[in-house]
Amino acid sequence: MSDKEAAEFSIKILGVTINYSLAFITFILGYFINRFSMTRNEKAAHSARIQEQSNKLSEALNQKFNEFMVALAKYANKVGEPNLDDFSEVSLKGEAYFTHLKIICDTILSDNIDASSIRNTHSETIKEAIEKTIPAYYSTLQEVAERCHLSYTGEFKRSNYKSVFEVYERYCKV
Amino acid sequence: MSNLTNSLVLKYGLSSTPTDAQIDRWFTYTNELIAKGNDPEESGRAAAKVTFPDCGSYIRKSQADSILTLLEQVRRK
Repeated sequence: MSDKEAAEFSIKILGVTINYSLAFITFILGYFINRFSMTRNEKAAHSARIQEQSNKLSEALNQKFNEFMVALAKYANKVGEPNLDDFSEVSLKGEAYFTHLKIICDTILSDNIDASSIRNTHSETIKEAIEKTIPAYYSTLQEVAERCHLSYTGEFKRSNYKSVFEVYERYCKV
Repeated sequence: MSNLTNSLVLKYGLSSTPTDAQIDRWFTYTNELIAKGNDPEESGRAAAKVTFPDCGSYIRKSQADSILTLLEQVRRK
């Protein structure tokens, strides 16, 4: 092969390599652009999904709240001395309500609730839970248990409400 | 306290538990107002104002208020 032929061959090989490289780079870029961006339809579907998630969580919280209210009212209006069953009913329903608040906070922290729902609906409930209802709930149960000579070890520990505190600090502090 | 009584206490901010007779009066009057073509929500509220002397003693704007009120009642029990 003469020098000229060798040079032509090299140029041809280089051209082919560039063509393949370009195709490969375009493919990779296309993949990542699709992977990390959403079309308008996808964005709308995502927004509808997180809104629905928020509504479902709120409905479930209302349900837990109603059950908690019924248990508290039953205890407060019991004719005669409330018994252990009444006490554990209040304790169970209260725990269920506050556990659901934790679930809402976990969902908020995983970015699966839309921002306006956090601002308008959840933040107020979470603020009041941390500042008022959770402390009042534990202190009331401790007081009642002591009076009825029941052993109740529940107390308001920050470690049990990690996600609630995190959301409180992120969204509820002025 | 039945669920209805409890709901009335919370919804209309009553400071005491309504009697069965009061609840019956509220129920009858509400239905009369609805039959006249009034909005059910408005009828219930108007009937409550007439029937329960302590209607609107508390304004309960959130779940926390209701929880705190009932916890206080439990504490006093």
